[in-house]
Amino acid sequence: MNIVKKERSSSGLPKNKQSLNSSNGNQAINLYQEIPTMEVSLDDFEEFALDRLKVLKRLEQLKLRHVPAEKHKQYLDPLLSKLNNPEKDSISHFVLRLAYCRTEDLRRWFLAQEVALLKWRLGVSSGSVKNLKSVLPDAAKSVSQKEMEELDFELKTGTVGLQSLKLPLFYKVPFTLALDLVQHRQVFIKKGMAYIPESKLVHLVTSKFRAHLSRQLVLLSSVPTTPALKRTQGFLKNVATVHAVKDEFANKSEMAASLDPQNVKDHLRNMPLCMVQLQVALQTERHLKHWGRLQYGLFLKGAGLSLEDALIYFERMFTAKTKDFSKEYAYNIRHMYGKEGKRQNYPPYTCTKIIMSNAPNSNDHHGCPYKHNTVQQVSTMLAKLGISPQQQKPIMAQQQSGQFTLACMEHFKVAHPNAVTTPNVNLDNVGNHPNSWFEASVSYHKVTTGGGDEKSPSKTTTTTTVMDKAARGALKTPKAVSP
Amino acid sequence: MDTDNHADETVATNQSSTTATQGAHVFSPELLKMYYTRLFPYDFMHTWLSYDPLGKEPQLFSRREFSFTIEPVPGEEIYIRYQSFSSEQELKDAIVKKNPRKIDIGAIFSHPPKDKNAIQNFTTTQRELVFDIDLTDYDEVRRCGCTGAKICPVCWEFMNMAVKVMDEGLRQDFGFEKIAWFYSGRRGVHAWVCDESARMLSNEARSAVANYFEVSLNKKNKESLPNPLHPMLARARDVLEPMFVESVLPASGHGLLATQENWEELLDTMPNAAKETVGERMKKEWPKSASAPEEKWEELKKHLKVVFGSTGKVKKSKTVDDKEKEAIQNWTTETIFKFTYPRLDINVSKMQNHLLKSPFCVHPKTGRVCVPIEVEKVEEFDPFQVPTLDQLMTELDSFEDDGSGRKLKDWQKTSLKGYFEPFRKQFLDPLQSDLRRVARAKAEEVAAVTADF
Ligand code: SF4
Ligand SMILES: [Zn+2]
Repeated sequence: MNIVKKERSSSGLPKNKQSLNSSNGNQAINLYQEIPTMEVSLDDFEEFALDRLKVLKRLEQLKLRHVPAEKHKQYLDPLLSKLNNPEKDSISHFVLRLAYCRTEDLRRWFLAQEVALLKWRLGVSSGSVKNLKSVLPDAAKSVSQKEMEELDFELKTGTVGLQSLKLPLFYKVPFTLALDLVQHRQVFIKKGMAYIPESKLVHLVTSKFRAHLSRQLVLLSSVPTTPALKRTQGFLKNVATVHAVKDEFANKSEMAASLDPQNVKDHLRNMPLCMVQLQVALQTERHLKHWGRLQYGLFLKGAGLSLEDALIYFERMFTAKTKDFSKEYAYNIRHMYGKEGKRQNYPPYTCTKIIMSNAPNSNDHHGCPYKHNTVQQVSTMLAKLGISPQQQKPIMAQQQSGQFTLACMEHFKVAHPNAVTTPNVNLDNVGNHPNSWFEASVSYHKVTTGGGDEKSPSKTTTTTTVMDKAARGALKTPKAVSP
Repeated sequence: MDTDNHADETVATNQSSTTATQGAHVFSPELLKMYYTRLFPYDFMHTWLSYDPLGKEPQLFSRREFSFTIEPVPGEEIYIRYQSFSSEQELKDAIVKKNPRKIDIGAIFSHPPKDKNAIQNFTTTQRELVFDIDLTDYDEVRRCGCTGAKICPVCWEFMNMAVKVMDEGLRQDFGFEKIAWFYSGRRGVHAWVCDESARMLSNEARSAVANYFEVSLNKKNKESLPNPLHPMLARARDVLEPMFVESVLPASGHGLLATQENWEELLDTMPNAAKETVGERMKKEWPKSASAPEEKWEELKKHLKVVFGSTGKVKKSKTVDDKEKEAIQNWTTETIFKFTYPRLDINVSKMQNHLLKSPFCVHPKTGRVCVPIEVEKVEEFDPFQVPTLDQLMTELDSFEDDGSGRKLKDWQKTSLKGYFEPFRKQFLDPLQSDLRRVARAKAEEVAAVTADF
């Protein structure tokens, strides 16, 4: 695709292409095997990408919120209608590839949402597969009624997981395209053709799509930036962190407006040592065990992270050992927010509770470091937070004499000079409650720096205009072919 | 040597003394040299492995890896990999000169393997899909008294069964047609699937095909069969059951239902619900009856069906859950498979560059030639009839010209004729004519397209 300097046309797209009106139209589904070869203005380049991003974020929310499948259409259609034009669809996909190939986290997120989009378009969740033909390899053929009758017995005994006695639609594909099904004898095979029921074929298509896209993203991430691409760099960087849609399901309490999935780790400086320890463990191990999840999850809830954001945050972070986050952990997190089980709204843990109950084992990260870790370990942690040995002295002294909460208070004082005399900073419960520590720290920084969370990336929806206008010119993406 | 873990190499220590002494006069470097000079069918090997009836693509042969095991000093084996030859004559010269105890065949590479070290992207491009089945893997079900390398006519039946099941499966399920079977020279068989589509398979696809056929019913990691049976397994059962009845059940076979001790052992392998009912009943009745083993098998199946079949008595009963019922329904098939289903060494099949012993070479321990096996007549194949080197020499010596003036190849003067000729007629000639047809069609297509312009 060529990006050209051009005042945008009103539609933003070539006029001669007829655009389709409904997201359920008989539009061929694009598996994005080919890079589009048309000219795009820089404005379109950005706008298309943002429109697609809205769709992808919506898909993520629907999944995390467990929104029932029959409601998806109502939430997705308005956003999807903007991607109806095949070129726009394709361009937006490739722009987001550029934006989301940069880190492992971004790639994983993009991959998951693109697969979800493909599945939606194939009608997987609605139960009626459509447009499957357009994404099948040429060698795949649908099995005729006559052949189905002839092979009735073989198909019934050879196909694993048939739900009803009535056979679904079958396709036959060269067995080399369905190796996994073949090697586990999940399907019937005859003369080199595997007979695959529609539902499994969809799976085949989506897993191939996933594998291909995943490979492409990794390849793309190692492509050196070309001078042409450099000019879109600002936008691409930004778009991958922007929260394009403000979650319409979310209604965070006013006081809590400061935390979202993007800025949790920026708030490390506002956390007491027990929470620092959990956040660091989460970042490095990409997982937290049960008690750690509870202690930290409830703390974040108290600090203003909404349920939706908590789901998004933990799904993004939990990449080790996690196959299906929504199955394994989403319930857990919803439970913490009182949305499952007894529907009790659990309060964040107090220091007493953290200190007194559930001593951690050596590979756990919950608990209170002053109580449960050695002086040496605490000192190392503090040093990493930039606290000099000299500054550590009062903290260590308290810890050594078994005054855990006082040690924690000393840490606060060291990290927030003159906090005692700073107006609007309430120190009453620092050392009694981790959330009090947090709140005091946040208000301290607000006062001393004129507002810490105004920089929060969640507020930068409008920063997509950061493109350096002056730098705009005819740009080329790698491998682009001029029309 | 790393890619070649064919078991033949590792048995030198566990062979019986009889085979060893027998080996001494059926095999010697001198006899081998004679075989390579006068009898080895270089033309078959070259024609086959060239896949090139029109003589347009000599590289398929010249990029093929051969490897030799030579023994310059007795007891000291040297293994030479990555040999390659650009013509039949070159192949012959090298073999006659080096007199290898064993020849292995590897993949077709992107470049002649002998130039391997001078080339950067040296990769495999093609390779027949191969299968290796060996009687040593049947030790736990061989009740003829054989173990390890030892074989007898009774346990050889397992090889016939394996050939039938695999040959059918490869043809019907995967559509392969150019399949050559060979005796491995001692206690097993090899299959070479030579269709172009098979030669081009990726390693992943090879694994998938091998796994598709593999059924593990040995004690350690027993898989339970699906119910209903997959069509491939159902067909295997239909092929195997008559042979199982004929050569596993009776005393002349493995005696599975021939003595009270044996049938009690077998009946005890049934799932509990069946063992306690049908099993107990058979244990009481059979000692009093003079029925033959195959009759006992039928009787057992009938009772199981009446009680546990899909319309069986037990249908309404709550004492047997569906899972146990399925296990009982599968039990007869599992028993048949446990003894007779092909036990593949699937690692041989999974990699393009896995070496496999060359057809037509001679097994150093038995002195027998790795002759082709005719699938249609696999029951008639008798490994003990396969000529040994000394026998071949005797045959050559005693051959008397019929005076017709026809010029015969030396192998035509020996009992190798009975193996080589069917190979040529049933495998090599059809392979050639098919390849010729495809090549011509391709050429015509090209001509037609060019003519349009
Ligand atoms: S005293 Fe309380 S806030 Fe401080 S580290 Fe311990 S548990 Fe956390
Ligand atoms: Zn035997």
